[in-house]
Amino acid sequence: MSVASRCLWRSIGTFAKHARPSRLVSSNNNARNFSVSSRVSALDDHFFPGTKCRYTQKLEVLEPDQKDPIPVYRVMDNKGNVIDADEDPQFDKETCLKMYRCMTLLNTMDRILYESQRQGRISFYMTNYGEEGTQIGSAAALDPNDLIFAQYRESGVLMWRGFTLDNFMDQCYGNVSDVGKGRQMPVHYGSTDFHFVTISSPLATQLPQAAGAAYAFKRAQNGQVVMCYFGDGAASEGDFHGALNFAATLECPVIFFCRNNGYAISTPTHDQYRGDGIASRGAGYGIATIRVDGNDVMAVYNVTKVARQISLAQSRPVLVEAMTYRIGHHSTSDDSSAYRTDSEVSYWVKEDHPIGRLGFYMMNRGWWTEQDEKNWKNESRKQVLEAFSRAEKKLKPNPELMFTDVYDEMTPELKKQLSSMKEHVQLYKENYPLGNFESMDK
Amino acid sequence: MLVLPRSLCSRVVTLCTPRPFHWSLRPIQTHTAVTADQRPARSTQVRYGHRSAQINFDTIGSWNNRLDLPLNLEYSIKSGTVIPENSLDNVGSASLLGRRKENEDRYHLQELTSDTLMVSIFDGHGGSMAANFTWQHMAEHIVHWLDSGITDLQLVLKEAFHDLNEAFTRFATQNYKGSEHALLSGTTATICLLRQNHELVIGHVGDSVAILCRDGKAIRLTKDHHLDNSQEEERVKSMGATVTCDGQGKPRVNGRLDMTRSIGDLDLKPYGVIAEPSTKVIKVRHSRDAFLVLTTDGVNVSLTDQEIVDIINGRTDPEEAAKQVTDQALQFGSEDNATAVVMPFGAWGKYSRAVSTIQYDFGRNIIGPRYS
Ligand SMILES: Cc1ncc(C[n+]2csc(CCOP(=O)(O)OP(=O)(O)O)c2C)c(N)n1
Ligand SMILES: [Mg+2]
Repeated sequence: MSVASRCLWRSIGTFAKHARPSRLVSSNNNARNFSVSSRVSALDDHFFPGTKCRYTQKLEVLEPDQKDPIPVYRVMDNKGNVIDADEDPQFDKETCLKMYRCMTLLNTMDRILYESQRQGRISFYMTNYGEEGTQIGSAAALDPNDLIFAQYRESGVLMWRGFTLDNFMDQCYGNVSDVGKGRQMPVHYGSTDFHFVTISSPLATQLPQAAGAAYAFKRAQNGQVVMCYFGDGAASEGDFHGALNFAATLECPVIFFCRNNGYAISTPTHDQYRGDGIASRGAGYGIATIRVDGNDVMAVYNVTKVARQISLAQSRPVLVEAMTYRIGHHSTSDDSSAYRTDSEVSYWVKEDHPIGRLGFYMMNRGWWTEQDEKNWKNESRKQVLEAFSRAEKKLKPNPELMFTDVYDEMTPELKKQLSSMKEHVQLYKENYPLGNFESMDK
Repeated sequence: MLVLPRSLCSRVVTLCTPRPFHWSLRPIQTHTAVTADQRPARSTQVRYGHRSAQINFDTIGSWNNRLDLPLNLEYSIKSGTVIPENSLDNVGSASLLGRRKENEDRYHLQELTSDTLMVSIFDGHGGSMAANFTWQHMAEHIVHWLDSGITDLQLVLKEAFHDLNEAFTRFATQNYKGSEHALLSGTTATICLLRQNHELVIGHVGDSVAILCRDGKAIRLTKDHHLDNSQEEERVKSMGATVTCDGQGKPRVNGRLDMTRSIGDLDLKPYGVIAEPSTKVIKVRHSRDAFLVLTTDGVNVSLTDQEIVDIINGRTDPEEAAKQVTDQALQFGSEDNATAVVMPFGAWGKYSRAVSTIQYDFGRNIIGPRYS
């Protein structure tokens, strides 16, 4: 048997081992649609290394829109009715309530923290409006020990895992209780307890890190996957390519979860990429891909569950593209009315809001009433404001902590900077609000 | 019943399909409603939303001279948003004589109840008798009506103005029988009540002004009771008043008074110069509202509302700001008493960098604000 045909048999063998596990995996994966007839005729051909292609005498140009766009999987319609009963994940009432409470609590927290930034109480904030379903649906489908690399608009994931309102507020205030010791901008959360790697705002750095972490998981055979969130804009970074390619070739158990919310700050997706979104890129890297309605918390849950199974059982990456919409401004430094219309936004607010959709579902089942809604609204508002008030009253950390934790032992340069900082502050102490800080060592 | 979030109630005309829940609040104002099948057409979009004016979006985070007002947890929970503490200690005020023999302007600040603050300004005419009386007694009448259990602050103000004018009538007629002095003395009154630091209610008679600085812009909260307001003119004429102009072409009721409502002016009360205030309620938005300023016409005669707001935005301290407003008014030619009261809100200081050079009317100019 020639080397070429042995290679072929090996690749077919791998294919069989990776037989499609689920109804959810896209059928658009060319590599897996290898028809019997082309395989037979291919046997006569010479194979270029790393390819499974055949020769042709017909000059064909492959147009990007030759195939239908990848469909968007959903469970519920906009009014919370389950379309195909088989797809209903059958959440019990408790789970459903927990999801709903988490989505709405996140929304309330966003509103209070956004407003507090507008009043200058905290320096910066980013809301999650409209992406509550994407976040909670995916978080609920993971194992609590799966490692999460996020971008910055995934507070709901952390909230689902148990990060408390006080934890969020302490970070945004950068007070003494903030585990980051007040050294990061607001919303750069991180938590060892909840397996959530600290947010770092340079875009897309989390993708290669996630691929690497997943490779370590694979070697450790620890039964966990890595979840990596990123935005439609971040997917244009070079790191995206590197990460997906490494993860594919090293067969790492990682879910690349794209929140396609229509915008990267002011850049709409039609200026961000050509082609069928982020999902269409999966096949190019040889990665199993699913596209899902991100405003349908049940669909996101189902998809993430399946993605996790594939990723773990077969040790390979899965790409998920959740289609959603960023209802809020990009951040408190952005005014989105400069680049999109009010009516565009209000469509998503009124017609396709993830919280509304789950709310309809629960009302239809008799699990939630107007009165429950009213009570919970007051209750959640109270919880958020109380946590906020506690965080505001706490002192800011000792300014000396600026210099620690980068090196295990402070370098001579840092020591010098530390002592000049202390001298300076001592000299001009009436110009610094030292009363708001924990006192420095003498 | 469908309960809508407050922000949607005020902005959105109709909802096409009922939404059961309140959580979809977004921080952007919505002016148009969409129909169910109208998906956003992005490629053809031309009209963008309304950009928030005056906010410097390149400025990350907080600003320099904001007031560090702690959160009021109780009011915040009640209103569902972030409400800071406020206190009269933060209020700044200044009053200058101008080229007059006597300063007939008065202002009064008082914490009326544990949750209601009062800031007020009075501009007397025909002697300071009416202004003094109003200045000294207005608060007690308001407190009386607050204590009576009426929660509608507009109603409280209406009752209090009425009672106060009655009390002044008795006072003037008993103590100064037959004196012309007592008949001719009158005053404006502009009263602002601030309940739980976000419900602002204004009641006024006459031409003393209340201005709110929102998003850096001046919003006039009062409408002068003057004869150039045709409704007011109609009203006094229907009561038998005659309108004649003075030497400067200014219309006056019965040739005497240039306003159509006041406290006092007892001789003109039968001719429709009533003491019933115009009232208005406005919700303070501490993320956008920098301050409330009350001024007497000695200020307004020489400064536009926006000029007043710009001057205040250029100062770090409300007291200093009030001083500068009155001082500037005199410098620009006002000859009257000039008084200003400045009450800061949550966005105090936020718009200071938004103003670089102030081009004043008629090409006049002054040194710009500190943070230009
Ligand atoms: C390397 C890098 N380039 C640019 C930025 C500035 N930046 C911050 S967020 C952002 C938009 C990202 O959009 P997307 O990935 O779609 O996420 P979304 O904000 O929509 O959730 C940009 C360009 C950055 N943080 N890092
Ligand atoms: Mg985006």
